[in-house]
Amino acid sequence: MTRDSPQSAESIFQNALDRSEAQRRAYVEHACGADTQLLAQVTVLLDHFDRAGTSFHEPRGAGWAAPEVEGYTVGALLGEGGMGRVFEAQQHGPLERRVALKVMLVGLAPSAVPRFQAERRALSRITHPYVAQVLDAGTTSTGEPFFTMEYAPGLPLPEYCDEHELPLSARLDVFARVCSGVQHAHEQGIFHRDLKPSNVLVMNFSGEAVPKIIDFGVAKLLDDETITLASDFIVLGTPEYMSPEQTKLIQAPVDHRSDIYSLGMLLYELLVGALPWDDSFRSRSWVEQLRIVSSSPTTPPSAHEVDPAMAARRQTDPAQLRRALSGPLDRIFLRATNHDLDRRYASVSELRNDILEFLASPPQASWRDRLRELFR
Amino acid sequence: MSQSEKLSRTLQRAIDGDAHASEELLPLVYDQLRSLAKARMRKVPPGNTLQPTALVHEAYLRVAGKEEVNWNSRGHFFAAAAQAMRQILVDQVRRKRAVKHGGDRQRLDVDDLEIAIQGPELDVLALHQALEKLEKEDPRKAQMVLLRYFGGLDREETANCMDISVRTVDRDWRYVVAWLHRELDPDGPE
Repeated sequence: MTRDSPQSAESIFQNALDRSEAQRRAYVEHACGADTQLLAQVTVLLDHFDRAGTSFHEPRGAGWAAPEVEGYTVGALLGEGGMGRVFEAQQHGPLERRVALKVMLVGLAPSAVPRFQAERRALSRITHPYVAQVLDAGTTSTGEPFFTMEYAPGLPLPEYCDEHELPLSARLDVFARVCSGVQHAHEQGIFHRDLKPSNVLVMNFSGEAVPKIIDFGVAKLLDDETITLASDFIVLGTPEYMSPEQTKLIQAPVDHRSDIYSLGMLLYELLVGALPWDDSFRSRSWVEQLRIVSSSPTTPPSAHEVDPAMAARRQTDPAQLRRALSGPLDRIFLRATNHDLDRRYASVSELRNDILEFLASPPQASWRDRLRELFR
Repeated sequence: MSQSEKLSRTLQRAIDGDAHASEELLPLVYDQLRSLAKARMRKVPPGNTLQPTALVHEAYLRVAGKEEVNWNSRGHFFAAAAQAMRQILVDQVRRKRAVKHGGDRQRLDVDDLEIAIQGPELDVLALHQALEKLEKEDPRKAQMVLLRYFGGLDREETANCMDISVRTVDRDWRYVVAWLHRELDPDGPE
């Protein structure tokens, strides 16, 4: 940006980025014409934009460089969240394999490394087809903790269901599988703490929807004593799927039942394609979202407006969808997301059993027909 | 009047359009962030750092209490808090350097805070200086950097705070990315 032509360099830069990479060069040369100085400016900006990668994109606690990890070639960024970034990576030893490598955006005190490793070993003991296996852990060349897990290229659960236009029964079937993965981990004494669509990925294997839950127990890795941050600042996860007790605005223990609440929210989203919060929720600040989550009881899925497009994505019509939602599913959701911990499901298996029971005895004949179609 | 009350009242005056209040807001927020950080530092083991954006959000929670607050007032607060946090971080770096060069081998006094933007190799001073330059060239983008880096606002919050669209934030941010990378990268092409 120089004084004589700041606008034009910037607007050419912006327009260039709106084009495909193949067209970019030709566009820039055309737009700059004979002005070689301008051409140089724009070229430098584009070059820096490319080289910056993702390092400036999410500044909330962001790191500044792509990680270097011994024994791995770190590739493309797969996603990022409040706690870290996930990269695709190639492991070079002892096995040559593709993994997902997650780098935490927090510091780890040297004295906490053994504990971090112990946690990692506990996580690697979770072996379940629907839970992405934790493989390795350590620190990057710049000292941030990382761990690797099974590479699971899938779509977030609700997206997968919409993309494949899964009927309610098939959605509930995948959901029940997710429950069994969560249940397995709970049985090992590990809970997730951050269940949300981006952590429940679904892949298609020969027409079958197979979920992989990622980041299991990562929140635990960031537990008070392990991590160098003042832990009461870290409020984990997006508030949308967070249980009231996790907001820390109310006094209640955070345990496996927080996962049950988050599963309830996922269920709601699978059923009606939205969350029980009103439209203004997303435009509110994080702090206000926490306040809403901690203080507003959830409303049942049948209270959500049903429109034809949404019904069509579930291969049904609005009237049928409305019928299907009321009754047992309402009750299941309200029990899973009850603010009163004693009235919430005590275990994921109870939740899963209710889902399976519903699937086994759908309320209407038309439902039975659809199920028959599905399983034929 | 307590520190928080004073801050709340000044914030309200700033929202009502009192230009003096806006000026008074900065030192008040600065003090509040520092005392909050100090309280927090006592609870963490030595050698640890605090996350600045978490401090800013906690400070906001205290001022706003449990009331609903509209974006207009949040914008005022976060703009001041981000500026204050920037000052705190810059002061911290300068003080550390002074201790290093001054031969004073004592432990930094209790007033010293450990607040760090997470991530390796972030040179707060370099960012601060780049931001000063950007403030002269393009104040809107500079404000955006301030809110996002030092205030910890995400793109939507930034858009609300600055009363512009998220699309504008995203477009401007592409330019900011290139610009900052150019400014902060000593090896890059000039």
